[in-house]
Amino acid sequence: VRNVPGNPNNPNITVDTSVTSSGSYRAIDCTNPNHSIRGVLSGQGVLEFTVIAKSQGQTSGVSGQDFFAAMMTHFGLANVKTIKGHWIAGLDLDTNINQFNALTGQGLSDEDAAIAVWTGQRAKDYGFINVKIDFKDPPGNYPGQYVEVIASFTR
Amino acid sequence: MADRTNLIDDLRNRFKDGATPSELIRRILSVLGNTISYTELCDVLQEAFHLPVVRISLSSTAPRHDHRGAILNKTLLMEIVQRRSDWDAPCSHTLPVKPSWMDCLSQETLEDIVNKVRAAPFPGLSDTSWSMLRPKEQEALYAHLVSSIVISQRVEVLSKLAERLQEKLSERNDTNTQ
Repeated sequence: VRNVPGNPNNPNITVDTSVTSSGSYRAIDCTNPNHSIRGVLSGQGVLEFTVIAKSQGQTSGVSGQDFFAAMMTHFGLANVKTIKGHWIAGLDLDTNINQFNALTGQGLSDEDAAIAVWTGQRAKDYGFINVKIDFKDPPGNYPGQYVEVIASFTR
Repeated sequence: MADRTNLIDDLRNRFKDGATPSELIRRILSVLGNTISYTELCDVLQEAFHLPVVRISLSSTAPRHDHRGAILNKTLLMEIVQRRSDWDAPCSHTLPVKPSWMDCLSQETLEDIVNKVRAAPFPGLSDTSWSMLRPKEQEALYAHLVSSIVISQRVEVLSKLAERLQEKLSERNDTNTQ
């Protein structure tokens, strides 16, 4: 993997060592503790995470890309087999689902939309370019109207 | 530490008795105070129900306590039920797990369902018909079937919970009329 965007050594990233282990990663932005990343790597190499690097009216010392890069450095690329994206509308963690709906609403296929959203782009940065849609609510073809999507990215 | 352990036990017992995720969040805030951070709130839920990742509203700790209950009933509640065998262990080797509204519900995870669907012939299609589909079409059918199974399970879980909540309401009404 070359030229991966994001700085895993951003000095504002503070790792929570009390809960960080080979299968778990937790870090906050020391300039704004409301911003954080929480990731879990299963025994099968499936990575799940949530990241909050932007919030209304608040400044950020760590970008989402930096948080993601730090998490990937912690787990080690070789140990991550699948990156799982679980996107739900209406919980303030809307970036991916909003992008997915906008893109499918413009006519992109589910797979192309999934790789183009924020998490898909981070996955692609690390070579996870194969995408599989595991779950959609509502099921079937409702471009622009999904309330929940689960996608898996593999290399 | 004892307080935290008590809170975790309390949350598990409340969930087994029919509390929804938004009620659990309200309980955490009432015990730990409204100054609790979003991260701490996620930590408590994660620990109580052995969840790998907790997805709740950032506004859950805000003064207006925006828990987005209906969304959490479709998502977080299901994940808690699926992980019951991890967090609802018997108190001792001799005592069985206390019964609850969740008994007999499937605890299959999305991964279980995906694997099961992919391991079997696609329902309603012959091998010949299936093999004539392009890989993208096959993937679309898999996603459709998995989604339908997951949503069907969610309906089952919410039906059981609705019945438990009705029971509680009836019990309360009976008490009030006595």
